[in-house]
Amino acid sequence: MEEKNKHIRYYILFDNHTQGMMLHELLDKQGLPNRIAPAPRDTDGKAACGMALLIHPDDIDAVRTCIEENHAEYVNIVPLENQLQKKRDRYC
Amino acid sequence: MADYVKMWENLGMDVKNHDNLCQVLPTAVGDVFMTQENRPKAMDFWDMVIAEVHGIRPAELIEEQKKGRKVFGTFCVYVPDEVIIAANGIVTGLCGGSQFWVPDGEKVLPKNVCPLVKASVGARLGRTCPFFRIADMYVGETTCDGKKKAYEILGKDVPMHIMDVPQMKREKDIIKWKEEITDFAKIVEEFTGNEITPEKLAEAIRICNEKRKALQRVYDCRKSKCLPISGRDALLMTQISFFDDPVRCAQMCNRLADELEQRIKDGVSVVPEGTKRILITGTPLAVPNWKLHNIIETSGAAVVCEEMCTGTRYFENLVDESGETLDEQFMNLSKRYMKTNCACFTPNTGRIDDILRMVDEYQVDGVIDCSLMFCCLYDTEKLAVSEALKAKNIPVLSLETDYTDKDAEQLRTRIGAFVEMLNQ
Repeated sequence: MEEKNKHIRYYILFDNHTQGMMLHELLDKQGLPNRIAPAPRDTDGKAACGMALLIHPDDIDAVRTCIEENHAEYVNIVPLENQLQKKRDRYC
Repeated sequence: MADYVKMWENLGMDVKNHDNLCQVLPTAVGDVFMTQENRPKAMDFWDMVIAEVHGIRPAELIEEQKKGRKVFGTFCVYVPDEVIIAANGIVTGLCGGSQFWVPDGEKVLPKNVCPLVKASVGARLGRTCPFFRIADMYVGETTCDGKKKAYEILGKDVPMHIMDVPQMKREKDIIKWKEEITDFAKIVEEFTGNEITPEKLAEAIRICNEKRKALQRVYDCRKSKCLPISGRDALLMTQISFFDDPVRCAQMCNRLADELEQRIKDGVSVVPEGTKRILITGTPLAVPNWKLHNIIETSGAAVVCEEMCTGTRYFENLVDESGETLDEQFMNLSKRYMKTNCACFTPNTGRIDDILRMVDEYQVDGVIDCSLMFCCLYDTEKLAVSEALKAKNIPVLSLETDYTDKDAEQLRTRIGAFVEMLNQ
């Protein structure tokens, strides 16, 4: 399970960046690690370059609890495998 | 998801083709930036900007246009932003840094033109970049032959003004550049309908100087042996600074510098002690060109400085703020901009002096001199750069690349060997 977790990251998706930034600030205040990242296309069929919050598997339960307790707005939380590969050399 | 499709359609963009770019951006950003450990918290701002790179800032620019402000698109650090800002105009960088735009550029340009020029033309004619659609006027300059001819093509599609950059640095050339700035100010006044007064220009000079100081503060932190930020993150900051509002840019860079200075005090480094420090010099790395930095920093070294237009050439040297008349201010602008050491000048020994100084200041172990394919000017200067560095026993690796991924493995081999040699 731990080995599999190494390659999984959770992406929290939003309707707009205002919503995303609100949750980002909330998580920061609670000391929950998160990073702003472009939403991978695997999670979304629409033609928009939207932001997502990237969460490590170790932190996802605490993040879900925080969202629930604060009634924070978001669209979906999606686990994706092998999204991040530092030597893939696929640039744009 | 934030939905900017309507805005892109209103800009006349090819939304369907643009979607192909939107699809690859998250992968590149994820691989280059999100794989890093222990990034500065203040990078959140740039993470957000790049996540919505064709959304938030274009929407801001359109709102300002509705208020009557004009947007000027520029391609070179020689174009004085101060003049545009003094007329209540907005500056946005336009250099294309993606292979995605190259094929559309090649429809009208020869293949053996540098990828930056082809991508810039392709982004406009292919209608796949909002910044190229939004800009009311393009401001070109004569810093390379490829651009000069490209501007003739772009000028058929969008209002264009070309500034004639001198090719030498004699006293009469500084006066000539001052005259060129004076003429540009008249063009900007006519286009915006706003008069440029000494007071407005003084304020614009102050704004741009504050931005330069803030960028320099971040770079100063990179001089520390305890390296508080990766080269990739610093490059992203610099790339975005060409597009952002200058006041906000200075605020965000200062916020980042605050954190980096604290990291240095606390001994927080993004790389293990002893990691070899690389200075990159050469042609600009326009957003989203991150290939070279990513390969270097995933090959066991760290990039600590960029002696390039998307680096120190953008912010080193301040404009003298003591000018009281427009004539004095235009001269002060000319003097500052003419200190920028571009390979279009002959001779260009100032660039060699800069590289040697920065090797010392940034405690550099090795230099990578990289030019974009078909950039005759920077390619030719490699000999002088290499000779000067070798004379000082500073290891140097000369490279040439383009925007494709095809040479990534080859670059990994060469850069890996260079880093290994530095480690011996």
